[in-house]
Amino acid sequence: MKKKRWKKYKFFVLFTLIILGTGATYGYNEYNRLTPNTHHLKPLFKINAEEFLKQFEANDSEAMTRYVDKIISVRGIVGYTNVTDTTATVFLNGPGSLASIICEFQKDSNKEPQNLKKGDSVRIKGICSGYLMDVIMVRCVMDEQWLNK
Amino acid sequence: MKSLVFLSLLLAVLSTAPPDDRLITRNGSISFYSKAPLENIEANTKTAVSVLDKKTGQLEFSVLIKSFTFEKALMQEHFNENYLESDRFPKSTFKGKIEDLSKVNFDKDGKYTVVVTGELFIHGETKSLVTPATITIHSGTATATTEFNISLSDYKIKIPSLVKDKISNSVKIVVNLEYGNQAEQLQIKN
Repeated sequence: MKKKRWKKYKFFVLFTLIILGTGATYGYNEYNRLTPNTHHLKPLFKINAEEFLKQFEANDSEAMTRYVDKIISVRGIVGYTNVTDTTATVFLNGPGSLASIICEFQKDSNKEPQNLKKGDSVRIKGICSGYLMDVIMVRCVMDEQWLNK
Repeated sequence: MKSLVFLSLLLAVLSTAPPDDRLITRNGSISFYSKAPLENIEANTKTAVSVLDKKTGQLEFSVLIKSFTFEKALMQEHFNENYLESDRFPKSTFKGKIEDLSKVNFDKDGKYTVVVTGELFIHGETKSLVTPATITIHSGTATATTEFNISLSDYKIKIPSLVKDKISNSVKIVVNLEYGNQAEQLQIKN
């Protein structure tokens, strides 16, 4: 009798276990998902620093809608670098603008800009997080594919 | 355009003080930590803007909420979408002053403990803040550091009931602002 009942419900029990297992695995993976490495992300926009700043200065709400949370590859001239053991920030200048594009590097890429000098022409890829006095980019990396192009 | 107005106002405020009196950074560090049974929450940014007037002790800083970076993607999404609602409230600001400015000698290396009072704006809410801070002068560079706790409920930051017992209502904020003078900051331009 018991065997018959087990047979009857076996499929249902196994199906439920599979669903629960898949759900738990998905939940665990989703919970522990790391923010992606920017090196592996394709930029949605490729733009030069001057044009990028001009758009924010002309109409920042329009520029915010277009660029915030997007992956941007910006070409510009290095104005200032601040590299420590754990962090790195590079300012890209826009000629004729008071503002800069401030690029905060992702943690494991903080050594990438250590040899940059003021006046170097570079491409930096990162995620635009908005505009204060400057355009802010976070989780940046050197966009080696476009370096000096 | 609003940011251009903000920039102009900031420059207007700065222009009321002689150039040597104002210290500015656009590379300030702000971190926050929340210790909780479920998981510790930690994020930081190195893109805060701050101005300190050496003569009046006026101190302001501003930071974009979306500039805080987390290790875990889901935590960052929840922080921006559910907790800080960064699309509605994109930045956080502090406006205040050093109460006992006479203790600080900006021309002499040393560590000076002061009290800072002001108004902290987060998530659309403004609350008074009084916190001890340290001004460190080293080889002509001034650094302001402070740590203080805020209560999420004070700023109407809602924690979903499902995780209410597992996320702390108290968050520690650590501020580290290393200033150059305004002239130095402008020299980094072309």
